[in-house]
Amino acid sequence: MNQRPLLPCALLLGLAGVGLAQTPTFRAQIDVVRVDVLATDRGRPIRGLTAANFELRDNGVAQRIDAIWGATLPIDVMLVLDASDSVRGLVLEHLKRAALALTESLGAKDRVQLWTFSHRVSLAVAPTSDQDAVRRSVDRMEAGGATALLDAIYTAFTSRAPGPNRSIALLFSDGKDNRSWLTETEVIDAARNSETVVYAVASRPLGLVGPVDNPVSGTGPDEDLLAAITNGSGGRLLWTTNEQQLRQRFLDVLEELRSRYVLSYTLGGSPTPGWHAIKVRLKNRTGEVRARAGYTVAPDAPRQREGSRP
Amino acid sequence: MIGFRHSRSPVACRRTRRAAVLIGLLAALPIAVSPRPQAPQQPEAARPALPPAATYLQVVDRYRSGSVDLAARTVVSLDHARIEIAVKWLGKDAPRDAGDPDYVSRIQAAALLHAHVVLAGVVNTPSERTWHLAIAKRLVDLQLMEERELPDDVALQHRSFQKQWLLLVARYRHSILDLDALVADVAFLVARFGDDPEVLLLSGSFAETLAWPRLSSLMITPWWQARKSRNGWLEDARSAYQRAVNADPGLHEARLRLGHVFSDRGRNQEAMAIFESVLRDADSQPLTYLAHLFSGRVCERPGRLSDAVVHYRAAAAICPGCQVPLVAVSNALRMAGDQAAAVAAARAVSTVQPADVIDPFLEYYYGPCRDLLPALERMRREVSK
Repeated sequence: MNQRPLLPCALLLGLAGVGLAQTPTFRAQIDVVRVDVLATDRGRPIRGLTAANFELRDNGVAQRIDAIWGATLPIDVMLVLDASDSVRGLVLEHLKRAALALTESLGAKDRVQLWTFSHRVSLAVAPTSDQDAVRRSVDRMEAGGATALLDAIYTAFTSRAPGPNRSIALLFSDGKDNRSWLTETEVIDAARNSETVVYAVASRPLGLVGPVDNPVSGTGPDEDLLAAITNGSGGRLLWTTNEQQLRQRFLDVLEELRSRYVLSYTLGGSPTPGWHAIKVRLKNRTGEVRARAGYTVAPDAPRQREGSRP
Repeated sequence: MIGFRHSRSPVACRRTRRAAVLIGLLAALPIAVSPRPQAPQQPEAARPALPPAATYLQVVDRYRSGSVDLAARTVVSLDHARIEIAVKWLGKDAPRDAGDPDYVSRIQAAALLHAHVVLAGVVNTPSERTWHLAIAKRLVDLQLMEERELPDDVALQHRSFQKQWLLLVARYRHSILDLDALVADVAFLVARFGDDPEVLLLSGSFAETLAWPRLSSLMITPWWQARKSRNGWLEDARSAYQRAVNADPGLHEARLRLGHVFSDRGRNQEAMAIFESVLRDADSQPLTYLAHLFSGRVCERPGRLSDAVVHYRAAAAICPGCQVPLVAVSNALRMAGDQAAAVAAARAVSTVQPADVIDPFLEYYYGPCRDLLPALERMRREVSK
């Protein structure tokens, strides 16, 4: 899959040093921020948008969008899969099929990273385009243990390798966290600050019935928590009523990813330390935009300037 | 006492599940208990046991003599009715010489054997576990022997045995969060041995578990839990731990847990002072590991993030196979704005080699329940003397 910017190449090349930074870098008064957004109209993704279709504000200040990328930007997908006791049996088998279906649907330049978690967090496959490696690892997945969901999703999106690709974490779980060190607030905060967009596919334990949008209290994943993590990062929470739907949900996420845009803008002057709220909306047309809530500029700017950049 | 345990199970004291197949096979076999090689002498005045009781006592004596696994497999293959008759016989028709130490030891050994088949996972179904522990409780019950006018030394020994046995079973129930059964155990222990530091430690940790916000995520919400607020349970825990520490200042686990309750209540200075004392005095690695982790959490609150990182790194050094300290380091660095270091720490989480060591933090709310089988074995050796 080729990287196909929606801006002239010359401009893109000019931005190449700064425009593809994975985390906000603050170097010599030039600070480039990337925001991964999903534009929808009545729930359906809107394709073919340009920079002129977006209005972006950083702490309330309108920003000029320097670059916009569409579906052609390669994707790094982090699969973060619950492998605790609760997924034993049929759920695990369907989860494996879903993971493989998603992997096989990726482009040649896309990469997959496989994380599994119970009470331990494991990186089963480092970022790779080698589908056979992913398949072998998925085949080896076993279920057992408690659920450290918060520690797992935090570890996955925080340990992301810098690179030009769009970064997505796809979390699957069918239960509530019962072993993490991190609190809900800490992980929600980290997700809001991360450039990784978090999607979650949540499933209730087998045999429990109830409407999809109103899961039985106490029997499945924490809806409020997952919604806060995914919404804060610009992603979305999807539910399944049974394990057979897992494959389709994973493919739905992939399809949605291909409808997203990455916007970049440059902050002039020294960025103000503290929280920078990002607001993105559509101009000249109806629709909604999902984007991460913002990012934090640490007061210790020199440390950030030494930070990672591709 | 907390200890690094080596197991792949995340749940404290959840023993390796022995195959139900084995139990099934044994159940299908005809009961053939060979004569015990070194049977304890029966008092001369003893009337012979009824056949069911004789078979049962042979199994108990095998256990006493050290054939633990064989005795455990055999006792689970016996009919419940046969065992009930035997226990009834022990209570009513057994020789009246209650002062006979062998008689008392046999009853105690029988109670330990039934506990063993549960704790070691020889039986796995809830109904079987409940039944064996109920039988054992009947055997342990002082009433069985109080009626027999035990000599003072024997009564004292049995009282000590009873406390140890009840603590052991209560810790087991805590480890599997069998809270409905545990609440009765704790009430009984507190009523009978309320001033004992170990009992107070158990009682406090039970209350702390009930205050654990993630308890509901395990779908465990006993109806009576709602009788108190979270702060109410925490106050119960604080009170019990404080009494335990007062009774035995050397009980470092009670001190650590007292500090954790203070931390939970936002009493950071008191918490920190206690954690520092644990770090100074305790020589148990799991306790110092937890003290560093909890100290790090306390440091984070007022923004002392670099101090928090120091504590988390100290915890990581104590337990290289534990992931929690590295997650904590990463998050503290992220909050401090050092994103590059936070990324590096997060990446280190996945490089921690899977170890047999269980992170004590993962078991914290499962009670002061450690090394149950070794404790059981020590008790068995005592009653085999």
